[in-house]
Amino acid sequence: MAKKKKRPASHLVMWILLTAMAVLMLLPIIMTFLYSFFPTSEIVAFLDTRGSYDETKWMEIKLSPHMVSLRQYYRILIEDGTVLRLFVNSAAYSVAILIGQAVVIPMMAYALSRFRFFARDVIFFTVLIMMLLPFQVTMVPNVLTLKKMNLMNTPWAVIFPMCFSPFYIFLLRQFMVGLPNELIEAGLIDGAGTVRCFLNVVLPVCRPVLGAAAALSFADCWNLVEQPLIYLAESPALQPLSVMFNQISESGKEIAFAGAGLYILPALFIYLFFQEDILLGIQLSELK
Amino acid sequence: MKLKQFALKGLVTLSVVVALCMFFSGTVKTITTPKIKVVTTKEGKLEQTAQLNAKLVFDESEPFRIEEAMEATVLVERVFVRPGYEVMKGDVIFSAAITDFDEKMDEIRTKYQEKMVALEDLERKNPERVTKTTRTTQFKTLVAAQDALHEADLALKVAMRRHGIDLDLVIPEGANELQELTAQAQGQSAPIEVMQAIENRYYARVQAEDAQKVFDETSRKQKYAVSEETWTYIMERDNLLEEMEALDEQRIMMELLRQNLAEVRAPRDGYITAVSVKVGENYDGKAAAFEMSAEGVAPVLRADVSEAPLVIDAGAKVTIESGYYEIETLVSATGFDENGKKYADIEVTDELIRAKGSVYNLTLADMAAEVSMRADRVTTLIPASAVRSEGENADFVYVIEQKRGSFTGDSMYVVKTPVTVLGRSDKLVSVAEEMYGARLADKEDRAISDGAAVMEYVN
Repeated sequence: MAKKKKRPASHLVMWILLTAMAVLMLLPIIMTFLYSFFPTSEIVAFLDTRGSYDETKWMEIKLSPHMVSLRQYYRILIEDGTVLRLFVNSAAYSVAILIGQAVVIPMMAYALSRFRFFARDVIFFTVLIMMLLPFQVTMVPNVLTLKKMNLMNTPWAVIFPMCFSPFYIFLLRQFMVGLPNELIEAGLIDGAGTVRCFLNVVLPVCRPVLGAAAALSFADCWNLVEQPLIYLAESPALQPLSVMFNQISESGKEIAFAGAGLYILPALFIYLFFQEDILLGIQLSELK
Repeated sequence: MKLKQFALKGLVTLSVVVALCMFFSGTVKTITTPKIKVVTTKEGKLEQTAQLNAKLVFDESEPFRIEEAMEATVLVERVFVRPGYEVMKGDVIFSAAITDFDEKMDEIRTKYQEKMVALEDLERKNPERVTKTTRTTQFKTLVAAQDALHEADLALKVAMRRHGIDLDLVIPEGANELQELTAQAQGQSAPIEVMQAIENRYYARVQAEDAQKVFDETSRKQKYAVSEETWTYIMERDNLLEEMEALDEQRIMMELLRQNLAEVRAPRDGYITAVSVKVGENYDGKAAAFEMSAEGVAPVLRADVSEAPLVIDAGAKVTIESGYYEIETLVSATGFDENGKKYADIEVTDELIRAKGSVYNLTLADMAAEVSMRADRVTTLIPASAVRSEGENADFVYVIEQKRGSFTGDSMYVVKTPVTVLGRSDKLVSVAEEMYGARLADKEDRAISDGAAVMEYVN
């Protein structure tokens, strides 16, 4: 009879610590879903107590409603289509940006990693600089350019700049630099051209990092706030759901949790879909 | 791999759910939310209108009575005017005849003849004056000449009175009567009838004076003793002459009345406001035969405004439809009638009279008039249909508010807001509150209440 291997006590401590951290990190998400099933009147009354704290008492935490209600979901999904419209806006921006990035970024990363041409390093350096600069710095030139192109307050004002995301260029470039030359040379020997090598040899090999980039980029796109606020200031109907969360106020709090629940779902599914790719991609691109 | 499939299925399911909800949410929201028309308040001076029925009236009128008609039986033969007719001085109002004119004149003449016979008898009883044939003949000539003079004198007096000519019939000694009276008559633009009467009277007087001279010459040759009988004679003769003069006056009056009644004319320019005489009926002279508007007073259209939906003051614009035209005039004055009801007088302009043909046409029926009042001050103007009421002095509107910056996005809801109504017109309501530019709910497709979510009509 095999003797069960005894785990060290430090593992138990680690397990407890990680579990506690996981609970702490998941608690907002759990609470969000939990509160989304509260009746609107109850959740409004509950939230109204949040602003007045009594130091002599413990703050009340509600973990269950008096009556489970789908009223919040009914409100945002059926009764009032505003949240859905913004949700679709978010989805449309995310898909459009991802498609744009899928066209631009791998090719640019491939060029910067495999080809030798004039000012290649300068361009790469520029990409690095762009990656390091915060959005607030590049915002003004972006606005001026978009105005010149008559794209302000149109969806393209959000989509175009995001298609050239320097971080993902850097991510893929770093991964592609690590690819063995023999792999591409083999393709060339077999008669493939540059484009064919890129499409049929390099991209399949880059699938993990592409998945990771897609998942991370989706998260970026899904959570856009500053860009729509600036570029779509005069077109509130075109703004994504993330902006409306940013502007949540007294009105609308009765459906805030259902809206948040709906808002989390796509990101959650995307993460689950690309979970392995994200881990592998980060490992392979030596960013860990 | 299972995780990827789960995530993929989750994404697909979520997409399908969102798509279905997108479809149904629009439908459900459209069905369940009241639709309204959004109207925006304005600023301006409220112009209120009211429909009135106005009737032509003459504020002041002057009655005209023919007092002389009391002396005779007067039958109205024709009436030429109706209330509302405009007449000029001298226009014939009506004509009438004295039904017993001939009888009365015969009666006067008979009395006159009786007095004349009595006078002649008296003269004959005086032996000194009637014994000689020559003197008798001369006396008869003198009497005939005096009769002619008398008739001519009466005719002149009738003509003078009828035409309003005032001649001084007492001619200074030494002056030529014909020249003197002719000059006076010409000075007053006397008609030919008067001139002829002056001439006739003059020649009758010449003849009478000639006859008197002849008779006096003959008489001077006789010597009379002034006896008691002579004095009695003189007194009786004077009495008879006075009575004859009175009878003459009666004849003058009768003739004058006959001629005046044959054509009763307007004494001045103006409008006929009432006509009492009727064709075929007698007029006794006790009451006014007709009435005319007071001198210088124009007719007005008077409308009862006691129940008008707005306060009407002088100066308010009035529109009266006339065929294809709209005549514009003004409210000239307002006042209260004997029952305490407020009325408004609308000015009757020449344009209105021309459009209607005459003032008389305005009397035929009440006139429909639209009066417009423009407020003195600028206020907030709201479409009338957007102002609701819960009773007297409990008016309110539904102000549209926008919900922004939340999950619900841009949505509209209404807020019940009380307003103080200052005035109303058919289309607009003036309110005291400063609400310029406010967006209000109007013409909702179902009942709405304070705080209700609403949607705007599409198309």
